[in-house]
Amino acid sequence: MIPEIGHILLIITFVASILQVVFWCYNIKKSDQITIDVLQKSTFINFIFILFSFGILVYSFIISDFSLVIVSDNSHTLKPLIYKISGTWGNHEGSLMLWILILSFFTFLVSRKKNNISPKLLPSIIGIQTIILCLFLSFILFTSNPFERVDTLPIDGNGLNPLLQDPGLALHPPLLYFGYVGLSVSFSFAVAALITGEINKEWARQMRPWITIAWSALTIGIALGSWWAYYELGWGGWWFWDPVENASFMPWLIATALLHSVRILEVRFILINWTILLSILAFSFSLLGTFIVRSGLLTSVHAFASDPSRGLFILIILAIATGGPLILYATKSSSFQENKTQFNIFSKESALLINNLFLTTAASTVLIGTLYPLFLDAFNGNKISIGPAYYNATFAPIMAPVILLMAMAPFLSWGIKKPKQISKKIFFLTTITLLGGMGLFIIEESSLFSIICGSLAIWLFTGVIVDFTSQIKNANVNLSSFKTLLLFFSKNNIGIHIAHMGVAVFLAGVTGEQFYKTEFNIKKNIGDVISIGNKSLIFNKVETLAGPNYKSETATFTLLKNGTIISVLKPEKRFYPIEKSQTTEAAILSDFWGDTYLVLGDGNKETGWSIRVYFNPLISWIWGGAGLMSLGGLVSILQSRTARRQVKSTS
Amino acid sequence: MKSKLTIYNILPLILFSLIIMVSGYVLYEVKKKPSNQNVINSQLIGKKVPQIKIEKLKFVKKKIKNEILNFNKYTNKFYAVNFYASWCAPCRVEAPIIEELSNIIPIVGIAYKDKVQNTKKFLDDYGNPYDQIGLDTLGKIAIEWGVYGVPETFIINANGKIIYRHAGPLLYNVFQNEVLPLIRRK
Repeated sequence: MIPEIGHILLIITFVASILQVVFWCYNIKKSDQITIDVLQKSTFINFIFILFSFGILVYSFIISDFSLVIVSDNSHTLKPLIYKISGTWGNHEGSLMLWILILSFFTFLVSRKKNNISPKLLPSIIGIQTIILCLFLSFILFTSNPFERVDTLPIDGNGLNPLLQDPGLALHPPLLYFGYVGLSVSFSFAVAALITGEINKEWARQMRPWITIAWSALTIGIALGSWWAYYELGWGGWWFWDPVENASFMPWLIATALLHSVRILEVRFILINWTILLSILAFSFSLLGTFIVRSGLLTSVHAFASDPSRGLFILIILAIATGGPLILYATKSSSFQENKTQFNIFSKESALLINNLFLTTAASTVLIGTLYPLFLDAFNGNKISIGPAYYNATFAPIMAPVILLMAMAPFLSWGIKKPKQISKKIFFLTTITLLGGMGLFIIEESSLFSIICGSLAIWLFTGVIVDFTSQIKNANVNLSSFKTLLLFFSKNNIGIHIAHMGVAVFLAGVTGEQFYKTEFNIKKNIGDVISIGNKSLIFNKVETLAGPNYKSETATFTLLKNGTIISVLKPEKRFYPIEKSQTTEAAILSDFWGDTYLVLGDGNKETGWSIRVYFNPLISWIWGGAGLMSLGGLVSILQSRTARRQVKSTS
Repeated sequence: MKSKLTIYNILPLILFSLIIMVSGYVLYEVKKKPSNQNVINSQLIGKKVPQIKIEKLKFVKKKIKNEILNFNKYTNKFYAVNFYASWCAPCRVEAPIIEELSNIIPIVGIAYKDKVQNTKKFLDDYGNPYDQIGLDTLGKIAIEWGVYGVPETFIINANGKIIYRHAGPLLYNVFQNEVLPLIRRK
């Protein structure tokens, strides 16, 4: 009975949101208080209904109501509570429920901003958001009903794919969806501007925090997925250029470009069309990602829940949601009046624009690499896979100038012709970078590319430090006084510094992992010793243990450095009898300077076990860097809020 | 506001339309391919009935303890085994068809995770089509038989081998088209 209530709530919301869209279309030219109130209240009701419906689904998972198809397919009574809950979105129907929940939440939040957003824009923004909600609700109701009942009552569920039973992955989809769906707000801003013709600096200012929050969530979501792949899949890598990873990476690249172009628009009121186009594209890439993952076109580690018959529906949604705005863009975009200023080569906007171009080019190389194998397969049945070799040759060289410019752009000022005092800073940066590069040259394993990559990290790192200290110096901050320091932080957006520092840290991690890792693949038996440099591993034993819902073969290794014991490592192979599948649990010893990564392969007492050992220097910096980027985004939102509040209180 | 169409403004639309059209074509190709998702058959098909002692449901209070089901009486005969439970709604749906099946071959009913009181009440309400009834209070027998859920029906041939398994309620069309031909062939 309870699941049916959830289903009915969804149907009511679907009908209500259609009525809401009709109401908006009918009043499309109006911007009075009543229109806004009606839209705002109905948006709130939509959100509450979807929240309840989602709650019912989570409840069904918690009590293991196996009369529901998705519960019996994806859950099991023996599963720990947290994975019962995360099982809700670990499948197609549930993840769509999460998608619309977040979408209605964002719509609700944006509808409450009637004091800030121009009344001409707000109804259209809510209207566009509601159209997207309608599309996804129809997708759920017509093709993927989460509340479908089974005709055979199973004894116990099928269980969640054991690979997905992991804390990192319990949070990965919600954060990723938060990012994907967050980009719908900037999309709606852009479409609303196309419909109403209303665009100004305030439009950009209001839109920027929404992009930033979505971007931060996307960053951390992608990083969590990569971290999970690193320690759970046992491949020793952290990024595989897998189509599904790319699907989340493309919106990230576009969102990064958008984040910068919207800032140019806010300050200089130029690049209106470009910003609108990026806003549309960022969300379209999110939808394209959903299409790729959910349509069943791909067989990858990620294709846990896919079905070709649903692909068509998503393709139609994509066609409506992107095609419509692009038609509007084609007809309306030439009518916007922007500042007629020329670009000065040494101005901040030039640097940001060039970075924008590089970032979008990078996104298109990823797009081509992702879609090309699919298209080729469909046209002549050739199965090819595009791997790191392609991306190293195309993506990496495009990103190198991005890093170069990233360090310099903060030194430059808006609009000016002649830069002041930057030659000194650039000279300093170059010196430090050359010294660092020479330092890398001394290391034995270095190659040309490792030196370039490492030097770029040093360049960016130094650039951020130099910019930060010069800002502090210019503001005459008394470092010992808390009050002036606080004032400094509220006036200057150090979020930018944190995020750029994150990129530098990330890049250092990539350099260490890509160029300086050591890898062994050997067969050893109990009692053997593996020695690498000044470290050695002693193979102690293998035992069979029982977990809550799995059996495991656990090996014990002792890691010694210069003859003293550092740690005991226990790589595992787990067998999940319910799901009849096996997972590898790598044993990882992480510290600041790098990871020792140990995987237990197949084997027995007679032949020995095959063992893989990796030493990955600086690898945790990759995720640390991503964390800093995300933090930078959040700090930047906080800063702009306090700054605005101060402006309000003084005026 | 004056609007005009320029190639730069239409370009995104053109590129996007191309992607959509090609994606649609790819999807069409994928759907055309026959799906290779075979129906998973029971591991037990063609095998002997699992040898496990099953406690018999007693209707009269006797002093004999732990009377067990007798499968030997079906030697050289076709019979069916039906897992059911009083708490299971689909079992009520299939009750009339099980009744009809019981007119043709004997059926062994196994009450899965059911209370004796409730299963008796269920038989009172829907009739007792079973030749004998076993109790699977802990669900162990269901595991031995590889049961997916209740209801589930097995047909055993004269050699004592399982020849057919149906998970879910035995509906009339399945009974008519799959079960009856199997039994008539004997």
